Amino acid sequence: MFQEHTTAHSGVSQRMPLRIPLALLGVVLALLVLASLFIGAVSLSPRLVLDGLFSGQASSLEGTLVWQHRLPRALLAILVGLQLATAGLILQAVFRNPLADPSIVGISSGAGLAVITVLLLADLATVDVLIGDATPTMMSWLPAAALFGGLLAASLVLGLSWRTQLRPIHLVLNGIAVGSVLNALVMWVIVTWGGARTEIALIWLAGSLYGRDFQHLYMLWPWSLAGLLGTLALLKPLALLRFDDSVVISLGLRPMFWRAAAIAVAVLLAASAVAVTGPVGFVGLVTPHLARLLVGSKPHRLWIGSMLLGSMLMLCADLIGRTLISPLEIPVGALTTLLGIPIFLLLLHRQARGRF
Amino acid sequence: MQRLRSLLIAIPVMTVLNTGGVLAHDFPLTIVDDRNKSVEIAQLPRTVASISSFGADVLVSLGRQVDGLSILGGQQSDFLGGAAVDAVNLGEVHQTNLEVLAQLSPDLTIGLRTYTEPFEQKIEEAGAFLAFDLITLEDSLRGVERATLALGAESQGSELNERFLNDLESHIERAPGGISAVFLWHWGDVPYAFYSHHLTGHIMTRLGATNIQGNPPRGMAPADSSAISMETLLRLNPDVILSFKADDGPFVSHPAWPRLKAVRNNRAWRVGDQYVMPHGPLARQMVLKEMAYLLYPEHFPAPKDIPEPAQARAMDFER
Repeated sequence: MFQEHTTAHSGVSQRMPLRIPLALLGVVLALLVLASLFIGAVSLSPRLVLDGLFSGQASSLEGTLVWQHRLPRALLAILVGLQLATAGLILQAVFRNPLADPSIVGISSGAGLAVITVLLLADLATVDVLIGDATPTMMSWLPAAALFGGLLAASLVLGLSWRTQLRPIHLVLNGIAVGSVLNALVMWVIVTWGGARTEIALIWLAGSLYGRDFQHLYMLWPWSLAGLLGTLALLKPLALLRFDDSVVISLGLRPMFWRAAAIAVAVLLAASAVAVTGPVGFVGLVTPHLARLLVGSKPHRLWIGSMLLGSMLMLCADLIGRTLISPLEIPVGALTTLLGIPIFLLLLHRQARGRF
Repeated sequence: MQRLRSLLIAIPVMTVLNTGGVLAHDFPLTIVDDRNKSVEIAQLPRTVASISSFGADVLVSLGRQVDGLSILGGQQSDFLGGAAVDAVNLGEVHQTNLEVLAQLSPDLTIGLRTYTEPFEQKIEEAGAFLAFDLITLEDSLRGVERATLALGAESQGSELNERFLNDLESHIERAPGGISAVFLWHWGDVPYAFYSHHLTGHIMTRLGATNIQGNPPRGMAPADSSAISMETLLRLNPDVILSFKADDGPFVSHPAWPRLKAVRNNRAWRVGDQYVMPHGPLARQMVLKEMAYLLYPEHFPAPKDIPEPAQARAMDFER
């Protein structure tokens, strides 16, 4: 993932000062944030949006829309995007597979099964067995349950791969197997349960920022900070993990330790993001590749570019999702998939031509 | 009749218990909803939003306008006729557009707990919010009582409930029984059948029909329906099939379908969403009258007061 590219395009990118593409990406990101504040299901004039923005969380409609609906979603989109992009970047390096993303270690399916289980228990909680205010409490557990499920599934994949020194091919195969089983369980529970919360479960499984607010942001940012600091510490070892283990050892690194550490950081980043939004596909997969095209393959460039692009993709998908067919809403996960598929196909095409 | 009397006595008692002792509709008042949450209604609500057709049904029954209404499957409930045509579209019932709701800023929002629970805080930011669990007849009666209380029309609510219970009893007396039926919906290619504790299933059984899906397993009360295989459907072979969905569903292409008694006798019907959400005063009356006719066409006339798009239609099928 961190390898130097030999294409002319990448070569130009490598020579280009970092501040130019980053400044461009930063400007686009800022414009998308503004668009997220100015555009929504309810039409507001730019002046009203600015009034709302600078009046704090006032009781006016514009203050409510900006502070309680649009701003927290935009900030969450930024955090979730950069976390998923960083997780994808790390996993592609560790797995030595340009098509790896957070779902490959079972995070999405583990989180999905945990959320469906909580929803099912919330249904059962209203019968004789559990009474009182158990149900509302259980519903507030959703993000925590998703985080737990994602971490558990990833731990299972790592555990299954431990005996083989976390070799990339075994990680991939174990990840696919665990993910498939967990996905099958999710579908089995939904179909046989058929409860009244099916729609809520499906919204979550589609990946959405619907109804999210500052509470979710407060929950997520410590994970973002910890994950990004961890990534910073990993950048140099990650660049070396692309080599065979014997080469890595000769360079003074312990491959298994750094591989496990890198996967742990990626899992924390991805699982906490998925806990807030549900599974959001393709952000972790495509943004590192797009970033390489724009800013080159040097680790710090690639990382910053990936984060900016991940945030942009999430913001863009959320903006389209909540405005295109308003008052209906398209889940952000569906749109990132739609936007990501053409890029994914292009990557497959390039891979078939041996350009990775 | 004994059961009817018990219910009529029980409802006001339950209401008193659930509303913290409020008997008159003086505002402010506090109503305990099905989240076990005390909701204060500061004054007579002038702007009311409905997440699900239930709140709109209650409002229309009271001769009031609903100001904001969710949709189901991309459209408003047909059984409301044109009564809600001017209501602001709040989006799908399970994903209320929170910006539009904030703009509407209703004094009161009436919704279903199952669809709103994870996002209830955002809905409460827009105004007072009553969330109900609506599955059984008792849920319907208590829901109407509390919604009408919140709307300052408690006595009308009691009258609506009383009228329905009386109509139910009169239909029960005229229903000959000796028939079996099922109420289906489908998700993907999986058919589901409603249990007898769901109000539609309850009406079915009270009318003397055997609901082939029966009662929910013990300890699983909240589920209103569960999956049923086509083989089971063929084995139980109901006389009448009612099915809710905008399309005929996967049933019609299944080899078991043309073998079903109901299909062979042209007694498979596609029905409106009032059967799924029958808990409002309008919907339950429509379901009662139409189902009585569909089960016993020789004994009950076809109801004439159901809007045409909401009326039952014969399901298209292959023979």
